[in-house]
Amino acid sequence: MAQLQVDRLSIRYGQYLAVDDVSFDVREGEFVSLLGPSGCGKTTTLRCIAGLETASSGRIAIGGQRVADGSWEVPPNKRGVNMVFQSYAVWPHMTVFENVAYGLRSQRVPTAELTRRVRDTLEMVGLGAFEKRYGTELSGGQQQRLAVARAVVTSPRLLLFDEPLSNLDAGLRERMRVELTELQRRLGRTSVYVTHDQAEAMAMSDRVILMRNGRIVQQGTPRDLYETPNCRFAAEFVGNANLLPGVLDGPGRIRVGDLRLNAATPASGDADLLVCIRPENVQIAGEAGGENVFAAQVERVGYLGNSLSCEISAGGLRLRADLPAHSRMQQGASIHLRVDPANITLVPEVAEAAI
Amino acid sequence: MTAQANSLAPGLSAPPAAGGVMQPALLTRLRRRYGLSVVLIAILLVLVVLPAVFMFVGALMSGGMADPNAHFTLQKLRLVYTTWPYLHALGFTLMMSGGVAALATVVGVATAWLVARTDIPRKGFLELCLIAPLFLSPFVGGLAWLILGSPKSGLINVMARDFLGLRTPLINVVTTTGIVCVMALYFVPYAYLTVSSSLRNMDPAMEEASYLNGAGIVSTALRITLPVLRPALISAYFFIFVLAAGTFSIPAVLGGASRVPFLAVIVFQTSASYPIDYGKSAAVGTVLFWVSVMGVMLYRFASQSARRFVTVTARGFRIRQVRLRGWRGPAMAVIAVYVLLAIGLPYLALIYTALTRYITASVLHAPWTLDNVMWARDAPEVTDSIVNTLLVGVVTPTICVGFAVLLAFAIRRLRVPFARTLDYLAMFPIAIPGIVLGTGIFWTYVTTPVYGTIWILVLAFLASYLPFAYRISDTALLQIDKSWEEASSLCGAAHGRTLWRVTVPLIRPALLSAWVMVFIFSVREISAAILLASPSNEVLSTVSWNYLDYGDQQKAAVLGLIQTVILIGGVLMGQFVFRVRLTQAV
Repeated sequence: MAQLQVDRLSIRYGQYLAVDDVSFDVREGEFVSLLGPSGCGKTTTLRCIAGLETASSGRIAIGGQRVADGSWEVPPNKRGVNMVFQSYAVWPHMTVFENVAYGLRSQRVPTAELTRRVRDTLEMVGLGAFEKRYGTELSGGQQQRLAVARAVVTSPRLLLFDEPLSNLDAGLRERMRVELTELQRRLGRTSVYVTHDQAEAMAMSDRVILMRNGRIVQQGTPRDLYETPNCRFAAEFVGNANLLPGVLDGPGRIRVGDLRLNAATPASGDADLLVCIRPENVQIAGEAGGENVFAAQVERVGYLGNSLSCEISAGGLRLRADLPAHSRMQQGASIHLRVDPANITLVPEVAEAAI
Repeated sequence: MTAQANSLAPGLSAPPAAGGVMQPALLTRLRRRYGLSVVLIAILLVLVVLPAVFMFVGALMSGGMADPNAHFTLQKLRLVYTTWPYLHALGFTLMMSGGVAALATVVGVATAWLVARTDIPRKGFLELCLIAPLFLSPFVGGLAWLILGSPKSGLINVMARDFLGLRTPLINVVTTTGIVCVMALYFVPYAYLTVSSSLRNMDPAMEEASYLNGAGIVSTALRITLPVLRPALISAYFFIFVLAAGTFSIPAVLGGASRVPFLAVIVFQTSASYPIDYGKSAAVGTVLFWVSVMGVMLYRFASQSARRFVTVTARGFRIRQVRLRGWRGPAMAVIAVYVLLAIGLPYLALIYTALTRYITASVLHAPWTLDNVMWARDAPEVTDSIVNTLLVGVVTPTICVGFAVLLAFAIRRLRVPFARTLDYLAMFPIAIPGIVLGTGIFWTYVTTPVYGTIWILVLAFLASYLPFAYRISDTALLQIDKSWEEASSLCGAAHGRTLWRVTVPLIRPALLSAWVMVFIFSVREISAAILLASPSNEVLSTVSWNYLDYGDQQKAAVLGLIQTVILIGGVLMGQFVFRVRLTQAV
């Protein structure tokens, strides 16, 4: 039995449909991300799972127990879930200890046990020495840890994260990402994590649910999403991609501009499709000839330190290629490039409006 | 310049010119750098500081300014600061103001929470009802409550006798408790506005986190919302405390006969009724001044500590509204009762009184008449006071807002020297209650030709309301991007042109609401006006006071109603012509 079941959830504000018929399950212990651009309905969905937003229709069950059915709902304080907020929502009038103890006091946990659990949790997130400080006397990263401690200490059936890292600066964000992932693996709590940062979603999740305009576009493991995007949006939102209009020439054979390439992945019946080639999958070929080798001209070179971001033209197309920095590519150079057939993904060209 | 341009070494500056040329250059530089500051400080000193100084001087004089035999004496101060009746009055004033502030804050918090956090219907309308008393005159409210709730002839008691057969009075507002309650009615909007803006600025996730940690609605409200709001509550409390301590109108109207020892009333009585003693009046004024200063300091302290509670807010997600369900009715009833007590009953009473000949023992045999209305139409005194009220109501906000913008621009944008001093001086009148300022202005100008003209009122009101206009302008300046003005300077505009062509149009909405605010204050003001009133500069509030003083409640009521019509006209003009959001103005 899935720990969280969301079944045909829709949320409507007047005329605006914020969440449109969304269904997904989260297994016990699984870490699932809701990923998408701002306004895609991911946060609204999360808030509805928490009980902070009222559904217009659909059902939500947590641990097999129904918590929302249409506009009937269990209030948030009785759902047995907890959440880490984007703003951390650390209570400024309470000490670090009291912030964490708050949920346990609501559960009427005996004092001795409460003290032990709060101390253990603070120790776990590295705030053991700060329990007497006030919430607002902590740095951003520490407030973040406190928010996590406060959310996990109540042993919730479901742990929710609402873009918890987006208020941190880049370096700290990286570090907190690792810490959070480790913590979640150690505690094994079922988690739903909302983010607009694809790198975050990929690095942390067992499974990613990609959303757009209130609907689910694609869901799967991070590898599934990256390697086999099912539409233009999925390909563009997750990582960088060259998306080139192509025509199916025969089984495994496609025509892109003037180039003829082999693709390992089977294409659906459509003759018109998009050919997705990730920039890092374009390699320098030693010589002309061979499978998927084509002549190209380097139009522009950007030095990024660990790689060269090149714009190249080939077969009447322009595409981006990330080439090794040591290749010392020069603008205007004529070279040969190769793409492994396994790295060519075919995406059905669906009219934008349908997504 | 020429020397520098011709210099062979452009990096070196030209040697200083000969002594004779340098002198004016230095003066010009000094004038450029300090000129504006000096002018602004001079204006503020005369407008704001001088009256306070003269009040202290007056407290040390044995007689009035015009009295040639007057000499310095400590006798008045000793009397007021060390003898029992005055210490008693001080204690009474502190107690009453504290009670008013507490009551108003409690009602303000409850109503603000209902409107901001629950699914109570018709929020916009309810909010309008809750802040409406702000746009009405507390003096007129006090007058109405005197008509409604005095023990023998009060309309409520009369009707209780008529319809319920009660022999003893139902309510009695002519008591300390009554005065505190009626005053609280008219200060609730200040508490409401402070608390509701804090509620709006508070990160809703704080309350949501509490729900997710298993706390219910009541528990969240008491353990999270209220403590987080605490600094805002304390600052609202002391703000109202200061306003209440300086309020002359309601305690004078309701407590005049029973001589409730309220400092603001004593200041008036000692200089307006026999035995007149201007020095003693000024001395009592200084006590009230210290009370106010103390309140303002506590208010500032609370506002500053409020900053510790400012938190990062996430995007504008609307907070989950508490579902009132069965409590919806009682919640609406609370607000309805408040509106009934603050607006509904008082205006019914005023209209009733304006249309009757005299007070009767039974409303069933009310002596209906239009005489009072006819009198108001024909009496030159009424026409004069309407003209004066409108004059003061237009001139004061215009000068006040203009000067406030100039001040704010000079302080915040030009960063003129002594900016902190200027800021402090501009906010200083906050600590001077109207009646105290009136005393000071009286002592300052009594020997000048301005005394007895309408302009003395304009001077008093300008000083009184400068802090409001200045604060609004300053906040507005803070909210617009400085680079718009910098772009104007880089395009070659002088500061004056930048101010007039870029800054003022950008903060126009704030300036209009400041204008309407000061208009309302000026039209309804009585505390600062009452000591400066003379037959040649009567305004509606002072004429109404005079009639009430003679015991003619009917004429007082008619004048109160006329004043209300002018106030409502101003508010409507602000709302619909200028599109002013008055909720945000305060």
